[in-house]
Amino acid sequence: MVVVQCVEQGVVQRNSQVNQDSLAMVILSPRIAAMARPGQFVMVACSKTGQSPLLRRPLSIHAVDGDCLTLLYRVVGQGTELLANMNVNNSLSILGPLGMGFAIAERKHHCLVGGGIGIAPLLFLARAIRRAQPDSQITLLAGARSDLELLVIEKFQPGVEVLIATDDGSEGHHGFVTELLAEITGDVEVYTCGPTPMMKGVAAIARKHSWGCQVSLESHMACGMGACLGCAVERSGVHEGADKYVHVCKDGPVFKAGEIWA
Amino acid sequence: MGIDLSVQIGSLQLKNPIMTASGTFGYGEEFSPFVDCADLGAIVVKGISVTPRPGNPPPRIVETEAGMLNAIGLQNGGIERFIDSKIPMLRELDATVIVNILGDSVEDYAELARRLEPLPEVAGIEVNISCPNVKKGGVAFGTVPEMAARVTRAVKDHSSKTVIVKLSPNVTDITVIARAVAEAGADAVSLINTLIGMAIDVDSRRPKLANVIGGLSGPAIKPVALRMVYQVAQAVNIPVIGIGGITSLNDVLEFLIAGACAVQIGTANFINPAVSSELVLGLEQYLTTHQCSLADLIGSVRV
Repeated sequence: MVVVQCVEQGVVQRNSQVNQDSLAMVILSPRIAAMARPGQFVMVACSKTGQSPLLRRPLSIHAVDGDCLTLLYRVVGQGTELLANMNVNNSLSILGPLGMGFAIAERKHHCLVGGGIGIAPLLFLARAIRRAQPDSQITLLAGARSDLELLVIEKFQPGVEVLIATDDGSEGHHGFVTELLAEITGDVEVYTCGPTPMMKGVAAIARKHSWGCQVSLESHMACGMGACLGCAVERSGVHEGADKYVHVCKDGPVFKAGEIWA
Repeated sequence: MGIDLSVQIGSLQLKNPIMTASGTFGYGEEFSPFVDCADLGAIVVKGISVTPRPGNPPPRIVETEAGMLNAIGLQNGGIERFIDSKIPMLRELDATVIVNILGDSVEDYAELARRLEPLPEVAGIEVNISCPNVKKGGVAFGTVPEMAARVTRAVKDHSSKTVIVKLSPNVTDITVIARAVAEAGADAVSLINTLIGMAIDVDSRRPKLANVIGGLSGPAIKPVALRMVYQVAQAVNIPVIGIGGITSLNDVLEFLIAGACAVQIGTANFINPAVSSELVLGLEQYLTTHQCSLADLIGSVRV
């Protein structure tokens, strides 16, 4: 598959708080919006070239609406803090779309499992599944520490069944989001993004049921294009030489769970 | 515009002095949506060893103030895979290709030079004697003048191509190493490779890199690189290729004025994948506007 990407000067249309530490930024970016696929990401310049921070920040694509991309992000450091301070009509350089996204499987039931900000790429995916397979069932399992940290659940409805788990029991199931998978049966493909322990748990349950499972990984990276080799992740099984690692930016960010965790 | 941007490095004539630095530009193809590699002076591809190397465990990179630390660990598929899978692609790119080589022994370097010798797609060899991220070999070759000279001679004995030796800044006096490789027959030197650095996560008190230490690159190292290029250009009579944090046209000009006859763009490729070809255009415009030649610039620093 030929991967095409470009650098585009995006224009901020909206940059609004969705909970205490996360924002949704809508950016006019027609070229990247036209090429983007669910599960792909962009590298966003949070500062002018040569200014701090030096490197672009990788952010998954939350939604595409016409000529606009939406990025859902949590403020965790200098780069995302600069993004949070951007205003409508500010412009920013975006490189993308990058990486290999989700592959929509031929299944009766698609189960999307998101933990915290990991829900970001799942909205774009849910909409694409709805379009590609209007008759299939889609369930979102959303996990968060508390109801205050639950993100954008309403955007998935209608059309997606939503089950919630919170660590403190303030909304939905009191416990881990992985426990909600006990209610899922049948011909299932699981797509997950979130903290690594959660995704490992999801992958283990999927393996037990012989479901397909796709995991979206996160990593620090410098280029996003397979050049710096900074975002290496060890593959499952024994692999020699240069095949020991895969790279989140180019081979991923979405992998079949079995490729990473045996 | 008719401005002559060409520079001579050994027997190799580059169409302009803008090159890409090894390990920051893949094998060129990754950047094909952004740069026509044929427009650049040369591309220096990711370092190749005799046998494949997996590289270091993650995390491999961390951003620091005005720079980044990396400990990739020379991940590459080895010379055989390079010849089988990369050379046909490089032929199509129509670029001037310089292959960066690295080894654990003098024999490794000789073997790599011998294997590359029959390939017309390879215009030159850059000998990496300076990578900070491997446990054995690399560093000693870059820090001991006699070892640097032996590696240089071994490559020259097995290659008729232009041989550039890439120098480490992690030495007491870089001009000593530069003189040693020049006397051993190097056609040019390129400098600097990364400066060894470290970053610690205060909460966990662990190093941020799995390898503990890594190589610092980016604008943070530019003043050090410029100083070393200036010193080496005074010390040797072979061409000097400047590397270290070059991001803007002004940076390119500084290195040329300090005595470099060409430059390599590294970390900046990660931030703006089109930067190398933009700098070619920028340099051409500068020379036109200021009605001067490259030769007027190179080494023209007024001290």
